[in-house]
Amino acid sequence: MKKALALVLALTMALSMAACGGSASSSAPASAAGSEASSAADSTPAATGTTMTNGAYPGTADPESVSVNLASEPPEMCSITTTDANAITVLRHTVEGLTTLDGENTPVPGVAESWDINEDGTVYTFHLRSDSVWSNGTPVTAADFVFAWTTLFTPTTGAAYAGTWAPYIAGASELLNTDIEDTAALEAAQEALGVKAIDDTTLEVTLTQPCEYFLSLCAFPNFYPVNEDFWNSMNGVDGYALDADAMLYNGPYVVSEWQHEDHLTISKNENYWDAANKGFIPNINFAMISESSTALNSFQGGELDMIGLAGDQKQLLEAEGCTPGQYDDGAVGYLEFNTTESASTAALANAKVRTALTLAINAESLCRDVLQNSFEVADGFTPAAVNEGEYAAQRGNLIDRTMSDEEIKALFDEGCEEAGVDPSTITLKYVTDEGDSAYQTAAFIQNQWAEKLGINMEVNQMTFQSRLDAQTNKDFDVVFALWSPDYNDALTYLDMWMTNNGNNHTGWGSEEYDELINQAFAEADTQAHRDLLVQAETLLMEEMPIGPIYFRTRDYICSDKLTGVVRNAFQDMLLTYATINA
Amino acid sequence: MARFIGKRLIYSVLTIFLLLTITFFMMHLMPGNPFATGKAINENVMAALEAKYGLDKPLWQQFLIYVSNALHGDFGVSYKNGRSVTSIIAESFPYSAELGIRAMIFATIAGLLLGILAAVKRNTVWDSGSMFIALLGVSMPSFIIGALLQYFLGLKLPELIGFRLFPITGWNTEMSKILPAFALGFSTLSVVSRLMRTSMLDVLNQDYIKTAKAKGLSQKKIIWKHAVRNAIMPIVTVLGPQVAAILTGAFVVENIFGIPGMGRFFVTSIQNNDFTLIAGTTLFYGAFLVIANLVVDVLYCFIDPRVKLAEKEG
Repeated sequence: MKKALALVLALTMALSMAACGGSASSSAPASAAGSEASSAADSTPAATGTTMTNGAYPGTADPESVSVNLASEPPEMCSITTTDANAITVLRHTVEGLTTLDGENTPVPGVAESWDINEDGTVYTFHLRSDSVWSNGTPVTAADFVFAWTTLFTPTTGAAYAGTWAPYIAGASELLNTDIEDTAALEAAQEALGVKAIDDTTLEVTLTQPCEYFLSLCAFPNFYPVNEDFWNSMNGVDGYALDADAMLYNGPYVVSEWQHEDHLTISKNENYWDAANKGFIPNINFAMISESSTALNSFQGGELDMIGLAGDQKQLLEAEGCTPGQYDDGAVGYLEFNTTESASTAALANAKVRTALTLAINAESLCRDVLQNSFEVADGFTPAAVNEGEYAAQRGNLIDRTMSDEEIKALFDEGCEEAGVDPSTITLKYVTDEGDSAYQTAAFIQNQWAEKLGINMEVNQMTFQSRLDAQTNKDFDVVFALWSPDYNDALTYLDMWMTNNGNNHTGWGSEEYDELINQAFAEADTQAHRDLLVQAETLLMEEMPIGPIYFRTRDYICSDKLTGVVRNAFQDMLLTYATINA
Repeated sequence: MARFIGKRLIYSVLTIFLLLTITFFMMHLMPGNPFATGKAINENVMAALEAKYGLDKPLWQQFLIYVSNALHGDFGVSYKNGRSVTSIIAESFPYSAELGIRAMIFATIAGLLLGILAAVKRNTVWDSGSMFIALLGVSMPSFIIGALLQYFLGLKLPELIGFRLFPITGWNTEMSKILPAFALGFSTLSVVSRLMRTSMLDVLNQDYIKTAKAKGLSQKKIIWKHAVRNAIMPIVTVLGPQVAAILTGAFVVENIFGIPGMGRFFVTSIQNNDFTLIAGTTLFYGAFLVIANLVVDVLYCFIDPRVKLAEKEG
């Protein structure tokens, strides 16, 4: 089956290459003619029509809409409970929170037109605008926020991210950890939550500690308002946002059509308070084509205006003279080492062994030669996508990849000796996801470790859910994992490595590290906050319970019709500022 | 006949129940938690979710609850997208069914014609041409055919003729339904045409065909009235299993052409440990196939009166 697939891919590739070669050679004289014409200062309309920004693909025909590929269906769109990237993308277009992010990820006024922060930075008073209305005509009030946030932190709602956000809001952790059988206690804890509606347009939020990036968090969909009456009329969490008409909108767009597993269309919301400055494209159609070769065919055939690109597709379009876009999506690919007794060897409890294992992998070669993409080699655990690169610049390179193979081997042997393990007896159980690239990565790492360190490795490919299960049960020696950020601060990459954090499957823990993270968490001053995080990350990279390999980048292409799409690690993809080229 | 159908119905119900039981216990043996997202979830929230969907109860209790609900027509709610399993199937199955029926009709008619042509024009260019097409269908899986059709007829043909005949994706217009049905039905077409050719050749050598010829009947009459009618029997036999092949193959074709059919839920529900959806889709397809086979058996006795269903039991 796999072989057959490889064959057809190769075949289609070869065919499309041949075809593209043809079109490239035929388009070259055309553009040369175009430039000649323009130098003659008398360009025909046809010639100007071919001088395009992205290449030769005009995109969809309808002048009132664009069609972009979301690749898969948002499973549900409940702003309170969702954790799905596609749902978040649609929600960012259709619902607005207290703040909203501009194209540079800076929080700007949304439903809140202004806010006051008390002296110690723990109480935020938001002043809501009076002209923000839901799509059923009722105004958006402070009570909508109180209701949404209370529901978010009520354990029976089952919001998967509630645990991530609870540490910020006063009373949220208490509410989240209240016994679900005890109704009275739940109600009391809901009452005690630090979110109060002073009046219809004034919302007071009390934080547990000052938080440097709280206004950014307010732009995250889990913090969006929800109208209680409408929520109840939809049967609450069991029915809200399962269909286009089962939810309310107050953003630049409304969902006008949602045909499950086929497409979802959003249309400009004329009642949005800032309609003059956002939502320039009347209708945006989100397609759900999961097959990447189909998406490319659709794009080339003028059925789509933007698609994501696989590595080979990017090369193919570049060969045709197109200029695909690229961005750092914030995901980091890394190895988690099991430092506990459940590992097959005690050697993994030794930091030198873990460091040697990480350094023995030539990450550059893995990205360029094996995966053939433009991922960046990781120089720490936090990618440059955070804080527009400021944090990474301050931190600098924490992983010395210049060590020679002999030095790495010496470090490895030294570590093994300290741990009392004979290196030749080591066989590591490596757990990874399904799929070709996971397999190729595993094979590469296996080879590098065998060659440079002389150890064996046994590859276990499994489904995503099974892999998570193996991590939770510590049924692995090494696991290849990916982490994506929740908010624009290095803390979203670093707090997870605290002792006993649910995302830390390594069993590693350090009191010093925990202390640094706790201090950073409570530090409101930007520079001091970052200093503490850099200290923590430096410690993490010295101990290396995890071995960062690469920072993922993504490639995409837009038709000539579409410009101004925002794509980055924290807003992928945003079209509220995009326009249609005439 | 009524007795036969009654008995078969009882067996069918037993088969489906067995299928459900095995699927139910096997899917709960799979490692993984349906609510896991890759990021740690608060334990209290997880406990609330498990309690809500009854996953905190012993497995046998969960099974009894499921069966009892299912008998009342309630197949539960998908853990992944919150919609009821019934509505998911009701929304997506019509696409798969239409695709399957179109593929089946195309495959049967074209397959029969090709097979007849090959048999009648035996050892000519027509014969080898037909059988070459059949060979292609057997050896090329639907996703290769689908990808090739999409690339050449969907994307490249418009460049040649100046307008788009076949859309690349979608399921809105008549034209958009041709390529997917062709891709899905092609392997069945091959099976049917090769079988029909063999069967026809066999019949054409029978004495009664010679008799018919001797009586001076026209070639046309001999083929359509005597040969085809008798040669078609084996085709009916393979149609049942072919329905199964088309249904299970639909996932790939739906994926390539971006058709919002039911096939994907078969695969994604298992990847997501979405227990209710796994059980629902398996049950639905299982029942569908059991009934399809039953229908084929009944059809058999209409086409060939010599087949006595009651006797077949013994």
